[in-house]
Amino acid sequence: MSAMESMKNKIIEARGIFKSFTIGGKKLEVLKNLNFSVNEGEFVSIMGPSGCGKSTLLYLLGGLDIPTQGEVIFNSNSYNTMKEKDMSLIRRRQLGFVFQFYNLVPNLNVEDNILLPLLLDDKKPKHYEKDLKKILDIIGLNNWRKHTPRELSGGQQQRVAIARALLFEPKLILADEPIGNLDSKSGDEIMKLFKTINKEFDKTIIQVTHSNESANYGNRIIYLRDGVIEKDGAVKVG
Amino acid sequence: MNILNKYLWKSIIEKKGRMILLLMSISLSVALLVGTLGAIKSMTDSISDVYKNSYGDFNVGLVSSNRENPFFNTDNIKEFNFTENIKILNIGGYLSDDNAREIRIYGMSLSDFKSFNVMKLTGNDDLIDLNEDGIIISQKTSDEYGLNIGDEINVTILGKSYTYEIKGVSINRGLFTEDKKDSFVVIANKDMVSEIYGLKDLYTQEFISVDVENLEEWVNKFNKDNKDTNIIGYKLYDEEKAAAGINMVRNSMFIILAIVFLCTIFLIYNSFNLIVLERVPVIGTFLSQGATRLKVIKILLKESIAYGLIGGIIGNLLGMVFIQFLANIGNPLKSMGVEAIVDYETYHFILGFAFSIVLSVVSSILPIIKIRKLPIKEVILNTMSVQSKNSIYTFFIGITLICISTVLHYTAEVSNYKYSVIAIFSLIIGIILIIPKLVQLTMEPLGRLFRNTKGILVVVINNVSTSKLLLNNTRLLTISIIVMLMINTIAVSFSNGVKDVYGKMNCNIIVTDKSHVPNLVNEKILNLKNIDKLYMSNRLSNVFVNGNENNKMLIEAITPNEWVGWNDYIKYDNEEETLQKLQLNNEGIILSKKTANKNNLKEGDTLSISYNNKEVKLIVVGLLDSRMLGDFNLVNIKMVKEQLGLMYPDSYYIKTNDDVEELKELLEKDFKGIGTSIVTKSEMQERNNNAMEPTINLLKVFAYIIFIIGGVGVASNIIMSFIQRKRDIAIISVLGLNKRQRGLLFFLEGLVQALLALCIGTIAVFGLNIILTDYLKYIDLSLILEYPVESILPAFITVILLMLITSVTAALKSRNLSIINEIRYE
Repeated sequence: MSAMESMKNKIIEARGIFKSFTIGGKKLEVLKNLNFSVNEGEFVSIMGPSGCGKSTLLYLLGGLDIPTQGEVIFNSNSYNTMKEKDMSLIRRRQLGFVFQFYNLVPNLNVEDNILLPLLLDDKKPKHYEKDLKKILDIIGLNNWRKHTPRELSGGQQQRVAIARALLFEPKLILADEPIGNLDSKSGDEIMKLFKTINKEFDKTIIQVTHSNESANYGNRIIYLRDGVIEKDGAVKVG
Repeated sequence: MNILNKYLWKSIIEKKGRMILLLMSISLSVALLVGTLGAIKSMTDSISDVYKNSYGDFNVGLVSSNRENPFFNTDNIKEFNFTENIKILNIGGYLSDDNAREIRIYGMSLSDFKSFNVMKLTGNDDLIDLNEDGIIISQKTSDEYGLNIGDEINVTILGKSYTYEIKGVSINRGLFTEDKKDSFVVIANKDMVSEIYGLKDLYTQEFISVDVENLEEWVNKFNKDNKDTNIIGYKLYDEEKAAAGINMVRNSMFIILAIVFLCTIFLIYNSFNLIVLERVPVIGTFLSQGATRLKVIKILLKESIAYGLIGGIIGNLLGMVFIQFLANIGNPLKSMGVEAIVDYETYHFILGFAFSIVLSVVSSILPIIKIRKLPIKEVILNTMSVQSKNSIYTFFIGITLICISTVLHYTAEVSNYKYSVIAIFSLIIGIILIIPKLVQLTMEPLGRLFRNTKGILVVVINNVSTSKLLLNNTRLLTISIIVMLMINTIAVSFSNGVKDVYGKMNCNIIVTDKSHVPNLVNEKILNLKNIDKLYMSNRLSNVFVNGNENNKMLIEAITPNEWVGWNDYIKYDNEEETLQKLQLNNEGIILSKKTANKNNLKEGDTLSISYNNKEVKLIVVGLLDSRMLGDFNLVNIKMVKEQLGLMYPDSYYIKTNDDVEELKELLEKDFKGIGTSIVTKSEMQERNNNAMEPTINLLKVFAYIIFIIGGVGVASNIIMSFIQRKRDIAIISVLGLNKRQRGLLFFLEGLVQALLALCIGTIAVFGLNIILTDYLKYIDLSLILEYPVESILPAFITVILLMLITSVTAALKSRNLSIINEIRYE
């Protein structure tokens, strides 16, 4: 962690996180006493073998699931004390999600998919026309705004998902295997886009990935193995 | 059980909601089919049973052809063969100490009574000496009046009082089936009745039993052979007439049944579309393991057959209950106190079972055979993207069907309305097909409108107009509303139509004279005081057209220039002018359009009619629309007097501004016991309403069942749509949709669908009413269909409630939604 980064504020923190599931009557500990924090402006990649709890951790950080023990502090507020309504509000306004399979709403067009969090927040889309155009320019899909997801390629759909995550200018973007379903060329393009968003728009990004190339676009890697942090360090440049 | 069969069975029970929906809709359709077939048979059987109970083995009646001289001598009858016969001399009277109770006395010999085998004495049937003072009454009369063997009653006949002793009590059959609320039948000694009349060896009725294949032919020949006597024969039970009586009920039931099937087909089709969609990964596995597409199709067809088999069993069981239920509420003889006869016919159940399998297979075949076109590699790799087809093709097919229906309507008169059933279904299917595009077109501007006001509404509008599941819900709701409103239209219109037939009649009292003293009745009525208007007619049934004994018509003989304004219900081009033409032409006839169409006749054409073996040539001087009065044709009463020898009217329509009840009482007093009925207009309306009640009740039951199928279909579709859309809802939840908003989303989706279905349904019913009118014309029922405006609000409330309940259920179900489970891909 650079000196510059350490001066920045903590945006999210995991404190003593445990997560277990009961499968077939047996308790399975997926995450065991995780403690770490992410500062504003960081681009963190969570890596590890299949089943090590990467995605589970990401969902806990996004407030989509609750830990068996411990707490997640986002922006100085613990998820544990929040009501469902407030949690929804945080997801809507302060977090951006990007998934491997894009998770776009198939019967909404590109524009409406991007504007969806806004519509759910009863904001008037006309006030966000400029933002929308800017975002569409960034992702390079201005000419596709009226198309539905099924008319787009995988890479294009993932760009729409990123645009949707960006609309509310969230403090933190959480990406779950964002290029896991893409070919290498589209994957590179998406990662470059994330890099741009992180550098130029100063957005904090946490991604879960299997790919070393993808992880190298970030500046910190957390390795998980069997539910514990095995390694947490900066990406080696070069 | 082999692996594939295990898979099949597990697939069926895996999704319980869908299994219940499919089995319920198939079972209800089968139950309705079995119930309808059984109920129709029961109605026919009930009518035929009344005949059998009334006449036993006798199948032909003989009466005098001359109403003014009802007596005939059986020796005059030309030789003919019969196996049995009984001769009757009847007369009317009333109880001397209760003049409101009329008595119909059938005089016959004791041996004739005994050979009339449906009437049996209760208790000691060895009796009896039916001497001149002895009578037999029915058990019903005995119970009602507390009369027993040995009791005496005083009866006034033709103004004189007679005392009779009850010698026997019979079961309520045979002639005793004529026992009514205010009158009852007694069997008396024939010689006693002869004495009252002062006649010997003359009779008023004879029942005979003829063993021939074609009874109609036999009766016609009999009448021809006895042309020179005053005796005329008629069939005691006319199957055709009985069938025609329930024709309307039967046709209506089958049309509605077809709509029920349409709903079921739609539900099964949708469910199998989903089944195929869900099974793509499994189909992929099968294909990767070497199964052919045909094999996969066979597996799914087996599933469909299994639904048919189970649905058939449940449907048949339910059908047994439905037969009982429908037969009872549709019983045409209920008002006469006759209970419905319910027999379970094996072939109805076999038919229901076969129908169940065919219905299930036919409805599911399209989605199943789609498998042939699935790209095999993508199915195996499970990378197939499911794209909903552009609704534009479906829209055009729908528009084409609506156009076909419109063309059939405008050419209906040329084709004699025979394609009206096709037009009805073409229009209904057309409407169902255009709904997605129609919804899309309606919702698009609304989406724009709400875009900057209420964000959730944009999501709602988008979902309602693009989600196949929700569009299908709108379709189902629309069908349910259409059917509900259509059935209400028919019920209200029938009810109003029947009211109008008599409601628009310009009279307060109707006197129908079947007495043997028409001259006296005529004289008394003509001398009545305080009468504002009097219309008289002579009604002739069994009039043959153009010498064809199978082509009968009803004729009303009138004094044309006094008939103007009789009943505004009947429509003439120009009433006065048309009746004037008949006034000026004794050999003229005004035909109802129905009769004119049936015989291909128009104004200026000639026809011959024969009545009581007398033939008259007539010229058509005009046409009228008799509407629900049906076969109603007018001739000049002068012709009837001069050429058919009928001297006196048999129907009197009296209009008075004085007290109607008082006049009725007066007439009853004058005409008591002679076979003349006096009914006020409101009583007549009530009787007709009662007669219509079974039909209307049946229609209502069908409407409710359709609504149940539609409602359950919609409810389960909404819940299924939640299950299908779980992932989409999870995605939106990730983006910030909270539980309250989720509930609101479901409710608003339901509300918008309900409103859309109501709008489309209420508009569609206007069009359907027009086509339905063509169908009513096809079945010879000129009924003006009235839009059931008063039904819209209840339909609206019902639909909103249904959507509210189902959306709340879906919202409650969604509380357990695990966002992670839905969005994770590992």
